[in-house]
Amino acid sequence: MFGIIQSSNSCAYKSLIQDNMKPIIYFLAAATILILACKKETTSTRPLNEIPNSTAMAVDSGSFSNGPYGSVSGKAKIYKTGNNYELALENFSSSNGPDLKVYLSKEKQPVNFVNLGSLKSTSGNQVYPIPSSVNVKDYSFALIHCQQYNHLFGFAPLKP
Amino acid sequence: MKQLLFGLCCFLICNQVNAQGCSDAGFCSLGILKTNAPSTSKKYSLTIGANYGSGEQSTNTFNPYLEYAVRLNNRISGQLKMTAVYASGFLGSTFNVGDILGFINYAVKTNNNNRLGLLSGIKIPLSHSNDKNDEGKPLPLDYQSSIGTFDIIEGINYIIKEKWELNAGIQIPVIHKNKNTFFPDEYTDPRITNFSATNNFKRKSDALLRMGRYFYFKQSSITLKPNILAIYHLGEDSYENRLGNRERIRGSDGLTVNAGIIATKRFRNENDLELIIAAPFVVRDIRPDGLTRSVVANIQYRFRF
Repeated sequence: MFGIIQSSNSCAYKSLIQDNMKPIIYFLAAATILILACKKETTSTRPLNEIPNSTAMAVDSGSFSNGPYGSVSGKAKIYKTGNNYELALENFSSSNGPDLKVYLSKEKQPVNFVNLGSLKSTSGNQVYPIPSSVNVKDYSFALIHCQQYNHLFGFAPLKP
Repeated sequence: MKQLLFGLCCFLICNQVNAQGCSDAGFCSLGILKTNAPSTSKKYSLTIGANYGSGEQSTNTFNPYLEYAVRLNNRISGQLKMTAVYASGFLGSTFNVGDILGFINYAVKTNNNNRLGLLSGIKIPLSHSNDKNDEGKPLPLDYQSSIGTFDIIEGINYIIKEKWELNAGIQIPVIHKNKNTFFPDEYTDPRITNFSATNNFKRKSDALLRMGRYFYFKQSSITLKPNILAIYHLGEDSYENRLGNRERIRGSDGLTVNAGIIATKRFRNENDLELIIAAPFVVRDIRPDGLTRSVVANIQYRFRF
């Protein structure tokens, strides 16, 4: 008899739990649908062909090597026009990522750096202005860096 | 009453200034800080709703949400809310999930005339606030589905003689998960100068004060609550500049005052339909958090069971 009562109580308890859980399950199902609807962020893959000013003079340059999280090739060159500097990526190619930025950095892993902006494209020739307050001689590396996840995709040591 | 409603409608239609709508789909649209639901015999409710806002540089936001509530006893109830945002403007369009808000309401005092309620909750962001446009460029926070902060929310609600309602609250960001990388100089469109740089944005707290007056139309089971909502942003927000240094955003603190009206129609099965329209008339100088709205309209339907 005790077994029957226990079983009966157990059924009632299960039923109560099931009734209470239903709305939560519906809520979580709707939430999952919304989460799955998210889109992935990526850098443009359209090849670019930007070129520095024709009067610009190359001062530092280096070739890209792969970082721990990506494959990057091509050259990084700093050009000077008057008192203005810009960084050119030439014959450039990079694996894609969710939040790729171009940095001038004092170290291979960015601690002291200048964020030149979002990587415009994963391939082609690209030019990035360097803020006038920056002394380019203080920075030894051009980096392709995923800012959101702090992942280094590639680096180029800059030398005269 | 008619004059009051007419005046409010005229104000809402005529007022086209830009201003902060609410705080991160946060505390001004939460539970007892928004509406005090009439007493019910049913234990659960599921609410489906959406709001539309027109923001900075005609950025349109459509914000659907889902809310599940359970009444544990006569004094304690809990709510779980999930939001999403579709934003569209001249920089592109995005859709993403926003935040999950969980909170508990506690009725301290219940008698026929006055009621006192407390609210305590948290907001958990579901995105890093770094959605891009179709060209892969970072977008300002006006286009993001969340500010990307874990917040603590505390509130108090006092209803006097079932007529007047006073709300006060505070929303404190405690963990910043914002990974936004927007700099306006990456765009050439001149309209971009209306948006602040928000690279690795950090947001300050908000305090809320609202006063409302209930009008009951018993024959039609409709309740109207015109209200004035003041939100004070308690400090200047900041971002990380191109050299990696943190800079304060001047003018991002200060007061926003909104006027709004909440209309609730209750049905025989105890479900209800709620409409809200609100617009601001005092604004902060700079509003980098992207919560700028010239007008906000909200509709929701609540199933009770």
